[in-house]
Amino acid sequence: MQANEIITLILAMAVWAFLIISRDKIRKLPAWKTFIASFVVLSAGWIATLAEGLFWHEALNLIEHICYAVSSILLAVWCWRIFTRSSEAAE
Amino acid sequence: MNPVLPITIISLLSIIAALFALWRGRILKQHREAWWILLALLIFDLFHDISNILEWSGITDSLDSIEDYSGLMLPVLFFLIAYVLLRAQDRKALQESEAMYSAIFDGVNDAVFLHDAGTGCIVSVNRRTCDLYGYSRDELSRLTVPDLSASDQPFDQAFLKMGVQGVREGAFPATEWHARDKSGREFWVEINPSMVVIGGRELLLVSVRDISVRKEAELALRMSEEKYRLVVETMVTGVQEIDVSGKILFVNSAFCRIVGYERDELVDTSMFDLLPSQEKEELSAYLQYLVDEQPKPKPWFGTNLRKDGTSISIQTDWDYKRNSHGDITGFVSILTDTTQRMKAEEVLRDSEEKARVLLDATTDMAMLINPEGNLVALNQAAAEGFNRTRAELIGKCPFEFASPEVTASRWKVFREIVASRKPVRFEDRNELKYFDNSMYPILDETGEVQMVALFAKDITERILAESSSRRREKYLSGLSEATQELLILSEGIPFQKFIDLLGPASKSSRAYIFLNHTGPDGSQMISQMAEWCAEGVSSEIDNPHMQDIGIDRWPKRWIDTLMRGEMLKGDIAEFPLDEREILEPQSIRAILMAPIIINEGFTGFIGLDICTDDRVHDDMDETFLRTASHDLAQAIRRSESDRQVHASLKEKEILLREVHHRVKNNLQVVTSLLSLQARRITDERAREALTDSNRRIRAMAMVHEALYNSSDLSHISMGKYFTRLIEEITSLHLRQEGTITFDVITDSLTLSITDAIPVGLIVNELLTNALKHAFPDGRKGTIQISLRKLENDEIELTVEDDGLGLPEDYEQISAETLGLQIVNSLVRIQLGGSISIDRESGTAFHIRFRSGSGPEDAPQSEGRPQDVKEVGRLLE
Repeated sequence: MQANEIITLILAMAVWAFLIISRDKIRKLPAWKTFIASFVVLSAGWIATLAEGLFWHEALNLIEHICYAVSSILLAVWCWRIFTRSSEAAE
Repeated sequence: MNPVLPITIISLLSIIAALFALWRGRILKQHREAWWILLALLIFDLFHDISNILEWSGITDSLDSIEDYSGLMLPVLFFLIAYVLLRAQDRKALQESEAMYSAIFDGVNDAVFLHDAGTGCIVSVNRRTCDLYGYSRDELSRLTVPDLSASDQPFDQAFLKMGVQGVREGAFPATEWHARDKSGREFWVEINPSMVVIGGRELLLVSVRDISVRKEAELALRMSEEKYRLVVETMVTGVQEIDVSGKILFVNSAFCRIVGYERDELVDTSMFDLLPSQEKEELSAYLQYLVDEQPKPKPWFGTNLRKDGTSISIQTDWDYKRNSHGDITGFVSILTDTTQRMKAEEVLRDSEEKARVLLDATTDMAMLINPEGNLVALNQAAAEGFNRTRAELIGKCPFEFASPEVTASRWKVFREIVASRKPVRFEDRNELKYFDNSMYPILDETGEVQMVALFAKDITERILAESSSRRREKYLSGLSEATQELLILSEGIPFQKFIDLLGPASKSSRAYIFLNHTGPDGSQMISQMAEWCAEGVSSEIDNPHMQDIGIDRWPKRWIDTLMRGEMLKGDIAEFPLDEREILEPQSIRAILMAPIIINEGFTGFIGLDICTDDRVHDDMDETFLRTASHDLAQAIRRSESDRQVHASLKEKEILLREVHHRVKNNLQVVTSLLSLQARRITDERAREALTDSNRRIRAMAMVHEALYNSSDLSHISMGKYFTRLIEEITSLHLRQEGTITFDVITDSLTLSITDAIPVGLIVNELLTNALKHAFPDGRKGTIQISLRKLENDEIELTVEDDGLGLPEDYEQISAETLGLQIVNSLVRIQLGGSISIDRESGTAFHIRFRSGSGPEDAPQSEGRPQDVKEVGRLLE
């Protein structure tokens, strides 16, 4: 368990707090579910990263990276949805 | 191989895809910040994955820090993305909100000002303000409220301050403002200020509405209201406005006048106070019903109490008063004093009732028919005429109750009346009844036919009476003509003429006369003597079965009936078979026979047959035929009497003629004896006396001879007599022919034997004297004998000659001469006349007398014996 992992998680919790506070506005963002899902999965990866230092190292490590991959995929999807749709609308 | 590696590679590829999306997505203004942060996020994520890959692939171990720091940035960048996106969203929302409010601000139909609450300066205006005032926004932003107000609209700082205070307190309602635009046009607006705080600055938000049109409408409305008020105030009917509880809110002058109160005494009082107690509850209930059910109000007929205590009849017409929501807030009523109208209606009802009684009392049918031909009203007689009740007839067409022909005829007349609008009178017949109909159109104020009044009088009795009268007249006329024919019996009884006149008058098919007679074998027979047939009816005169029929061969019932003097009549369908067998071949349907009774004996009968229609003979036919048979019986009896009288007269004529002949013969015997005697007398004077007597007797004999030869045994033609007398006298005097000329002028006058004998004797004497003494020695001359009737009905006999004339001592001689004595006596006594002598030129004896004016005790002229006695008496 490393300090940056803990900090990352703390930061993530702060972000979670902001997201929860602004949840009404978040819901108005386009494709917000994809965006939030990406962060959720990413947060799960950070938790896995932190937990792997305690137990199930390999499994949690695998989970960690799976979460990173999934988060990236979701983020990519979100980007496509946000920016491609926006550009088409603009055109 | 590390199993995480492919996963990381997938992640890496995803990040690359995301980067590609970023690149492809263009940079939009609203996402610019997010785009960059996202780019940073992806780059950090990329670094994170690349470092992992490199580390796992054993290429390097020194990228842990990059991995750590890049991993550390991820949540931060996520936060930033979210934050930026949210802020962009907020900004967008704000922009949209601003755009919306800007659109609303500029889109409202009212002008909107934003004023500084402290200074009154114009902060902002919408587009409508620019349109309304004609300024641009920039120009308006430099103007103040007074610049936009009319000259008569006060505005200053104090007003502004007061206004602002009022707006703050909510005590500044919508207010009318006299505005002015850029062109100087002044117009009215309505301002509605409110206080707003924008950016910590107190601003007056004033909405301005152009109410020019509304002001004009208000002015028009005020003028209309004024007119309405004037109308309401000048109406003769009362107008009242009440609320739902009945409180009077408004009354007009007429209302006050009708109820006798002042306006102040009525407004804000209850309208129920004006009603009698018995009507208050009823009207109150009615008004409540109107409020609850809201039906179409009906006029209310009731009573109002005036201030002076009197009551008046009123008609109240109600209408609802509603607010803007449509809720009933009260009533407006029109009050009409119907007292006079009620009285007039009562009089009218009374008049109508009288008219109805009169119409119902009359026996004529009276109806009112609308232009469609349906009954609107009718009297009792009309209902009885149709044999229905009035209720059953109202709404029906009266013409439909008649026969089709009559219906069509009456409809035609009705339509003509409706079209021409002129009354029509006509008669028609429906079945067995005759009607005298009068139709009168009743026009409304526009001249259109509103109703048609129909009066129908049953004139059946009159028509039948007229028909009967005409029939009677025809009968009488026919009977009179036929009877007149019976009066002339010179050639026997004109049976055919009689029946030819009777038949047409009787309206029968056939008329005939049968008479009894005795057959060759002495049996009683009866034969048809004459017959008349109507056109198209067969004649039976040549029917051998109608001639020389033994009475015993006739139906016994007929003979018995006729012999009793009764009439035989009836429809032959009701006759016995044997009688029908006689009648039916002659096409007889009904028969009427009247016996001819002479001296209580059955002599025959007159009959009438009906062959062409179904009627039977009625009382008038019987009377007619009975009269005809009586007249015919009288004629037959008279004919028989005439025949007997004629025979008797003939016999008497023969006897009389024989008497005259015998008298003449006897007188001739006497003259013959006298002539014989005269031959034996030697004394000249005696012989002359006998001759004179002989001559006189011959003159009388000639009268009887003339009567015997005359067709009229009571008068003789004097002209012929005088001529014969002259021949006789001249033959006795043996004068040569031609020496004396005789003129006889009698104008075909005839005299009865009473006058003829004395006249004959007179002329004999005077003529003899003239022949003896007037023309001596063969002197020629003329002797004229004239007999003429004078204007005073006297007869003048003149015997004159142009001889010597009478001697001077004629009077002495006439007193001594028998002949002249005879003349004088005959003139005075027998004829009752006078004699005068004219001796100027010859001698003329003028004798005047009246015919038949002999001595009163003289017997009637019945022939010679009386005349001879009278002459003898005169000669004694």
